[in-house]
Amino acid sequence: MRSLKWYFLLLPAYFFIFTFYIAPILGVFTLSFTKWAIISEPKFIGTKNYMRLVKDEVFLISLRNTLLFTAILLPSLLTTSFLVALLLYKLTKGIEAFASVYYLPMVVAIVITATIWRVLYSPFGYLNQLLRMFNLPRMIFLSEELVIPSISLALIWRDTGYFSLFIYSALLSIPKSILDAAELDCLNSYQKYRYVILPMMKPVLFFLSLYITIGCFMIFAIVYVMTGGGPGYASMTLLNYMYETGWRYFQMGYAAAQSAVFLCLIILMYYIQRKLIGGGGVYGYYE
Amino acid sequence: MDIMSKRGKLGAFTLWLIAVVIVILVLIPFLCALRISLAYAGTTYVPFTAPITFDNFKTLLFNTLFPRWMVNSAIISIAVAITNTFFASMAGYALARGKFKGNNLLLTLTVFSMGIPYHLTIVFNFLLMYKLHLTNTLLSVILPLAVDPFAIFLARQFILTIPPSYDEAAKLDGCGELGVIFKIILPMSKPLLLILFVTEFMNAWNNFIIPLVMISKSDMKTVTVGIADFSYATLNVNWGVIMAGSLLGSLPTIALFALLSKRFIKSFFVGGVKG
Amino acid sequence: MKKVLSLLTVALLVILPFSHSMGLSYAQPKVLTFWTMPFVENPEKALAPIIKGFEEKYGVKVEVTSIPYAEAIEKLQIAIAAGAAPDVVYMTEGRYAALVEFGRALLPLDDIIDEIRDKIVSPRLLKADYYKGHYWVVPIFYVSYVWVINTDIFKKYGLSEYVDKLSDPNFIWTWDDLYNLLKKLTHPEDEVWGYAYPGGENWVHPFLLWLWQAGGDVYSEDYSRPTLNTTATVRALSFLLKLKQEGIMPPGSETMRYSDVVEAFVTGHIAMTNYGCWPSNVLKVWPKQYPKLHFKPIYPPVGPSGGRDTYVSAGLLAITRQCKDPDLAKEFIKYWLSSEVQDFIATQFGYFPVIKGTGKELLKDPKARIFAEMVKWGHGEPVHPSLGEIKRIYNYYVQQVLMGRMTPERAASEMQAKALEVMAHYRS
Repeated sequence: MRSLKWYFLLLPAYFFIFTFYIAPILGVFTLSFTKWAIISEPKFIGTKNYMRLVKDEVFLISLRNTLLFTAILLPSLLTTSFLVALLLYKLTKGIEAFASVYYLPMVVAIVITATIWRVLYSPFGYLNQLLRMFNLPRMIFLSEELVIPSISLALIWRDTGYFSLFIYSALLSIPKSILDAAELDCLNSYQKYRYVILPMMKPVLFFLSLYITIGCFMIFAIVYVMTGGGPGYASMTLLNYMYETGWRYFQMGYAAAQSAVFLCLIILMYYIQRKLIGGGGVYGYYE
Repeated sequence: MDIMSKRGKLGAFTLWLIAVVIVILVLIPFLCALRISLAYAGTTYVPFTAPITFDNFKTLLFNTLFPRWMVNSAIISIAVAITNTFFASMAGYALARGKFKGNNLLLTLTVFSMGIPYHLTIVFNFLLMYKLHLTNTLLSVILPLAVDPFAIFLARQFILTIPPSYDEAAKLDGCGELGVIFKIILPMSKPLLLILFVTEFMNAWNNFIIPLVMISKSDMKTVTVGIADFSYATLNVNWGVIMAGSLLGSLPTIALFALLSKRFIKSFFVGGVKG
Repeated sequence: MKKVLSLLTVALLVILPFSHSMGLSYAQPKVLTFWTMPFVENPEKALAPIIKGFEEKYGVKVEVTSIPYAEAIEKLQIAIAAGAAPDVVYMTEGRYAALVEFGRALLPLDDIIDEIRDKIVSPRLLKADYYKGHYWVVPIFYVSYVWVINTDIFKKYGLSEYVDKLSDPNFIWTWDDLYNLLKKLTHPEDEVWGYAYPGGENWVHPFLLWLWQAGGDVYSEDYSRPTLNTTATVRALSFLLKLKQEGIMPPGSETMRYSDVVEAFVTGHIAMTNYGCWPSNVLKVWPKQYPKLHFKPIYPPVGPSGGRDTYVSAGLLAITRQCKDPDLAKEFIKYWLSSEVQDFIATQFGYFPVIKGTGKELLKDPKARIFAEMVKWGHGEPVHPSLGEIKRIYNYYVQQVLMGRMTPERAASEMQAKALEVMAHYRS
């Protein structure tokens, strides 16, 4: 059978994927219809968890916060990465060296990034010291109003370099012939970007948008370390609330229902992105 | 592009200057962390002119389990990097080139799995590891991370950029399927393999939730969990030691990156087929 | 590149088989598994003398594992679910009730409590070990919240007489006195404030200190319902709001984390703070780490409740139902209550012994004596499993009040309503 060799290549990888990703998810869906505190036996309660979810204020706040992160980070990261990529593209010397440094924050564990930035944001830390030097009032960066932008800033610091390299690579792969043709057609800079360059970047932009969006939904560790979801519920994200519900409030069934909704949201994001930016590529994707 | 015009030289210098400013912005948090780690006080602000001490590092290396944690993290990360590089690239190739039933289904499944956070799968994975008597061992962290769906996806996307025309050219020259793999795909995939290895190494090293749940014995922990331990352990938060641990704990990934950075960064620099 | 990869593969194939055996303990006859939390630094090392003493006395082996507080409940839950629970586990008040409520995972320890009831320093604190008809945990030491002042700040603003008065057990001072004192100590132009409330920290304590001093509590005596909508709550909230409105708290205090408040105190920005619950930090670590800080523990004010109510926490031990040798486990717990171990805990760690007449070395230090007296007026943490969710609720409302977004009365009634909703989910 011709297909056999493909299955042979796929087997090891998908054995792990099934065991450690798929099977647990099926288990989670089953769990969402129960009431379970881990140390007790699961008790079947039908759709009660989902009905509770609809009225749960804190869940809605977590959803709002997660979407807020996405709304802030998607445009900012795409912009900063694009600008940095453009900078690299136009540089003549030392590109590799600069790129290496820009990539550096990504290399560090998110827990460590969170700890370092928490220290920076402390009411008596470096950033506030800087403000005091200019006689400005101290800012509480992790206050209710500022916590999400502050955490986003730390994430922008971390991810820009990494994403810029993807865009840079895509910029490089634009055939020179097309750029020369654009020159010959006397397109100005704006037209060049809008009609020639950006369309050719569609695959990369789609990929990055999806990656950033999913990344925003997966925000957990940085909030856990920097604020624990506070102040109040201001930085509580979907995963943080899910974690607290399951592990701190002993309501695994309810947390499982949240997980199910969470997964549906991720899938929804995927299809929205597909529609908006499209997945098409130069060499044809099987989609 | 066309910056080498009349204003060319000045333009180039300004760009270079901006690039340097960005470098400084990137490095400042690390410098602050370094300054705090080299101070006695353990507060979150230390003037740059304060005296320097290595006490925090000494405490870290001799009075805590930090060195052991580094070893644990290293073993886990290398193992995960290797399994991913092998298995994920194999699967990615199959998805990219293979015409077989279920290709699209597997792709959807893979992308779907990318969105599944470890927090959802962790309870069942732990129960599984316990039944296999593997909890508190390094394997309990290695196995769930052994194949990352993102790695499969990345591999597929990459291999798709290798035009099938190359494959056909090789086949016309008399190569079989296997020949295509070794003569065309593999050599062109060097950047992919490198990215997979380094990315998955770092993903494993930096992973927090899995070692958090799987390992409870202090001496089997990983560096990330250990650093978080320091912050939550007692009420006496000594930022100096925590910063020292944070910096040392990042050294391996930074060092690995520095060593391979030329090749790694270069891999982004290679465009596909040019016009 | 190929070479590197093949080298790594070989290395991996060599290491993998050994990683399986790393960390696995081979079962020996009579092993007691003990999970502790880091109530001291490096518990496996620090507790070794105590553990060894038991091992030698009873001829058994004790396996000690330390789990950080933040993960303790998750890990224990998972272990219990997987049938891998330890025999004896260190506990805190807030953590054990859920294990009893949802999984009947602990063994009742009424017999041990009966044995020590007349030997214990403060029988009133045993309330925190009691839930739904039985005692589930045994205290092995006490630690209390303490109020500390920065004596330099007091001296700077001409209030040095209070330094001695406040550490005199016979000196009675009330909330009004507290307010007046803090007002005199607040000088924002010097970046010095009287008191900072860590509004951004989602812990049980800071608010409870004030609630108890005001005469209130979170739950009714029998834990059947929350009692947050009381005049005590309003009193506590109003007082904190007053401190905030009069500028006695530094700006942003309502979103500060606990470590921020401690940092503010040790760097001389705050005149007075409550520090809990680890006196060893205050007694041993602070003088070394912050040599420029001159501080002194003081007696809390007498609150509207009529007493110097404060928060006392205990180190607790519990036995899980999965324990295969409960008698041995009980001996282990009783061993911690022996005078040798109680003295050791007092002298080595600076924690206050549970058994009367022990820890004399520690109590010679006047600073330590203040701590010990706190135990008299101490409240233990409420033990109902819903406290985890409810504390987030009341902390949220405290913040809203401090930010001026709602009145104390409205906050009290809203937090009661939410708490009632939440408690409904905890009936098993």
